[in-house]
Amino acid sequence: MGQLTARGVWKRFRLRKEAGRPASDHWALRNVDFTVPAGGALGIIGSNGSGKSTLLQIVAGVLKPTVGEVTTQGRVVAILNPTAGFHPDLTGRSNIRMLASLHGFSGPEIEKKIPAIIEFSGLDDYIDQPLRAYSAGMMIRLGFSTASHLEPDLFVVDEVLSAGDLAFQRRAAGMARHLRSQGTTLLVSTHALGDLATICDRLMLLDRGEVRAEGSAEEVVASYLQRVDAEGGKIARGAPLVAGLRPTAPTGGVRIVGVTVNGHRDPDLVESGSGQPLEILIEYEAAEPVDDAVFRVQFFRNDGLFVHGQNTVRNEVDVGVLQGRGVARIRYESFGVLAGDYYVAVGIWPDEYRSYTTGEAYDHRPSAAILRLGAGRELGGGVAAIPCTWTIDKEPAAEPKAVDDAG
Amino acid sequence: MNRTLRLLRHLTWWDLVAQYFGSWVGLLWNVVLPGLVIVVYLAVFELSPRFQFGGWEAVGGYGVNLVAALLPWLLFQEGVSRAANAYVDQRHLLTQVPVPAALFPLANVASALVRHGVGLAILFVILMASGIRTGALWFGLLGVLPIVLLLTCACGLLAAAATVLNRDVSPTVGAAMLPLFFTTPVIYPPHVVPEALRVVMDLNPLTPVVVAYRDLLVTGRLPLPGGLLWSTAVGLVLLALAAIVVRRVGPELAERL
Repeated sequence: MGQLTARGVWKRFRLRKEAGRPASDHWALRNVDFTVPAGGALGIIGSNGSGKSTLLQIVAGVLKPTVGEVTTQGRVVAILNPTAGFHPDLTGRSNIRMLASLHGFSGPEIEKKIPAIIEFSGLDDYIDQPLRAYSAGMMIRLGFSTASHLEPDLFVVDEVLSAGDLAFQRRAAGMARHLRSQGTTLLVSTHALGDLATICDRLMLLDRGEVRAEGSAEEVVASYLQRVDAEGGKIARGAPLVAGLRPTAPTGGVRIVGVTVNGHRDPDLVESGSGQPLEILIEYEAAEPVDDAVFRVQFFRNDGLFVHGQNTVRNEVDVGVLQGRGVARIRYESFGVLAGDYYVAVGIWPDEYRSYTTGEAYDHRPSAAILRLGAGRELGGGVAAIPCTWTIDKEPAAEPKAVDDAG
Repeated sequence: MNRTLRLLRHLTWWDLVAQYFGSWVGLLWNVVLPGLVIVVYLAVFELSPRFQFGGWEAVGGYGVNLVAALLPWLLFQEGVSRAANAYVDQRHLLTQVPVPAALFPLANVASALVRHGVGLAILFVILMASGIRTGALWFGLLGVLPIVLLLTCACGLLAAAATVLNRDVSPTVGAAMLPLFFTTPVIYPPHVVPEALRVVMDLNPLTPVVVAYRDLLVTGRLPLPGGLLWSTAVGLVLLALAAIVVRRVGPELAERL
């Protein structure tokens, strides 16, 4: 029970005619082929729009493939969206009953399951409230709890594992492993790659509807991250994908004339190493006097992680009035960030926070350069290179005990 | 088949429950509302002797004659109107649980049927109390009710599928109900219709059905088979059409919603 086979699955969506654009076809899946043996677990990864959800909807039987076929055995239970098919007017408890009855459970069977479902969801206080009173996170908890208790032979979960709060994510991942140990086949899609690796024995990478890689978690995740990196690099040259930094057009006042990183003026890429000095020069030009401007530099990893930032307010630098041309210089004697590619963002702002949140910079270069740092293994793992020393204190060794091998 | 019927039963039940969920009277509204309709019509028309129904051959007052024909009409109207929105209203389920597409509108018809049953029971009690007893003719409903259901299911399925393709269908169905109501002899006996308009009434497949209800429950005679055959034929054609549409639209429902 629980085996899943997809053979040459294609799925076409017709995009409706819009103003100025004729109706067109969009192929969400192209020739997708895979098998999950009974009791196996396949994780699906891929960027938004890669066809993950469409594939899961087809496996769940909600959508039909345009070409090809999907065969499943046994009871298929799916969570395809955060609302899990719940009715907004019914209470949590009634919704459990409804979903369970539509999956073929009888009244007494359902009543027997309800306490465990409520307990797992942790929603005892809200279970008799109508669903519309639930937050999105609560709905996800109820949906996952209900679905996972419906004795699935094949359990299909779309994104839910990466939703909800951290504690529930852990419980959900634990539940997925438990189901697997009971012989349930799993088909999971999530952005939480770490969870996938602990739940699934195989991963499949989808990209624009096509299977790009299938294999062990390590192989496929590596291939995925490579693609994301490549994608990120591409974006960096246009509009960079830097979290929280989407300024509007420069408001003027002070203009950035040039940015020099370690002696390279307006570079695409600067290579250096962890713990090496780093110097950034911001050449500016102020057409009229500007008072109390803030110079800021920031470093983002290509997945959007904000690694480090510094500005003249934090450093209590008196910038004073800017007029005409000049250069602001920031120097790190030892830039303690580990190996990787980092965007260097540089900006001149009217104040430290307000203008930053509204994105109203005098001038701003979200990707002034890409800083590629190399580092040896000896510097450690993660993001930060933090100097350290080890000592190992041993108690005085006792005399090795003589082994009595006389029998 | 067994699973399909069980699913239909569950969907119908949750349709009955969800409609009035959270209200104080709850599930009982399914009894109260049909009861109220019957009682109000009877009170208004039976208590005022000015209203005469039919003429020389009529049995009972205007009220009972009206209500006997109103019940099958309400089954049709309610079933089709609610079925028209079946997919749009239940998209939360449709995009989550694989349930055969036809079941959603059919569940709406089935819950209308439950309320129809309640209405018949109330009417039965009232007729007994007022001395209008047609005896074994009540069993004639076993032949007529399936024809009403056939017409309701066929129109309901068509309206539901068409609404997914074009959202204008649902309000159009609502608007069409009013002229249909007045071309069906519910509030008047058929013989008062002028000759010129009679063809419209005769072509209406609901006409033989409501007349048959009135004949069986109030007047106390067997309905003429010709009209009922016409209704059945129209119903079967519409059902075949519905089957084709549902078969074509069904697999794409979830993505079109």
